[in-house]
Amino acid sequence: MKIDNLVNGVGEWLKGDGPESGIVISSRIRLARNLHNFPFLTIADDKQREAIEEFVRTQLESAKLKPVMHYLPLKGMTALDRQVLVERHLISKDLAQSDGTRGLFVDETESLSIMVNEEDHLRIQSLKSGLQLHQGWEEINALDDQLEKALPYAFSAQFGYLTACPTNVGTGMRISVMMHLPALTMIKQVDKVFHAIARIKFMVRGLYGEGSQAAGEFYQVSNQISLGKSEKDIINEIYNIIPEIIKYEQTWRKKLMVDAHKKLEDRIFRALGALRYAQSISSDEAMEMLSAIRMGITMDIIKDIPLQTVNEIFISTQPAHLQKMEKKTLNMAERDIARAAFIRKKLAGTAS
Amino acid sequence: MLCERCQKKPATIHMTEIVNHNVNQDIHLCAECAQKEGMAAKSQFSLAELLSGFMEPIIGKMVKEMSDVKCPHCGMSYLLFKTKARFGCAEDYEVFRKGVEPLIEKMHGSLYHKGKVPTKINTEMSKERELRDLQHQLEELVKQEKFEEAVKVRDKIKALRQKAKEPKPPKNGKT
Repeated sequence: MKIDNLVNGVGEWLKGDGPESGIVISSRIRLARNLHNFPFLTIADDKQREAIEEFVRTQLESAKLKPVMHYLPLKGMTALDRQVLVERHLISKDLAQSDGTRGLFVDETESLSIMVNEEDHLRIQSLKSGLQLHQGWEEINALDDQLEKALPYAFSAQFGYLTACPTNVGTGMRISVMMHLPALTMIKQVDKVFHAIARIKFMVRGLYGEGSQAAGEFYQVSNQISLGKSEKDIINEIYNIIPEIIKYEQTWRKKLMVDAHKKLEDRIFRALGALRYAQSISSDEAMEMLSAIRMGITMDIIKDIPLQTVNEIFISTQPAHLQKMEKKTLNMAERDIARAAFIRKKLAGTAS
Repeated sequence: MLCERCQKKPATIHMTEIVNHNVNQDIHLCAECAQKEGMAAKSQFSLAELLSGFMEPIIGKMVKEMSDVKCPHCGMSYLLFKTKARFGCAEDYEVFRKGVEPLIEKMHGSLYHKGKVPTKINTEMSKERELRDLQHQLEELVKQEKFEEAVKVRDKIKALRQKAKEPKPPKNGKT
């Protein structure tokens, strides 16, 4: 698997064909796992990191995992290539920016991946389109079953899977459902949803995870508790919340259609016009316009642009992807021009 | 946008203050005023510092009692755990148990794992459970003076114990 080839397409989770994909962009499940025969990354020195990576890599390569996982070592990889992996949601910013021996296993469809030597020895991830947590759990659970045969997991009968940070102990599971909530954002009802979610020990964050602001009306809903509940219980709890948020968003969208129909259409078509003709566009502005168009598509106001095209533009117009496609380093001004050109090309031939 | 405090310089620091999940008003300040307010430093909090701050009121009292505790496997001290908010190895959970349980309970509202168990460990755990059940059965039989049956159960327990004693593969790579 080569990064250069990766940038020409998108992972399966961006196809926009999962259940509820109008409002739910993706369902992510992450499992934190550690080995009991090595020190944790908190204190591991360079030599130990190397030993951990070598052990994991050789064990997993001989385990003949299904699906087939390709290994990408991050040490020695260019910063730009590492950033491509961040933009595709395959690795964390921390893993990209840290030093030392570390790597990524990823399958052909980018649905399953394993970060090696992040905060924990292993961070296993499943990424699915739309609201598909049960399917995602089955896949990640099956992969985890194969891993536990090849690797001596750190596990305690009382505390469960032992993690570097006590906030992840137990199941080691963190779920993130990425949602697009433009109507609730527009009428400033999002805070209400956040408060309700916080009360039941779930949390909401921006698009790119920890520490980021909720960008362009996109939000991630995650569980905070990982101990004392089974994986299925945590998943079922999220399943009880998400449809409520979807319903709430839909109710307000319908209300906007009645109360502010022209205003709404105006915002959506202005966004479409801007993206079809802009010669230079910042990533913030693009995000805002794409958010409006996405809403237009899912509300049947825009009929001739597939959801996948919009999802694809989100990822492909990020800085590292643009530079890989242009095959050269671009400064911010140059990126804005390349971004506008890419979007014009993607939206050409579609007329409303 | 101008700084809210001095109304002279452009606001370059934008913060949303969240206290106990309640979003307070957004604050827009210039770098100078922000520094005066101590906000520039506040905005650069690392996750570890944040967690460490969260831990302080819960386990602050423990520190005196636990200050000499050091993990013999990885060398991590309890005090270092408190600053880093991260464990050094799998054994730390056991070594620091007393100073960690209140924290875990506060975070998760529980101290006991109810989720998936690795198959390998599952067999070991079910063996333990079987042993416990047989022991219980044995006591009952003795109480009822059914000695013949009790002997059979006792032999079963013996055989199970013998099996459990078989050597486990040695651990590798530990420092």
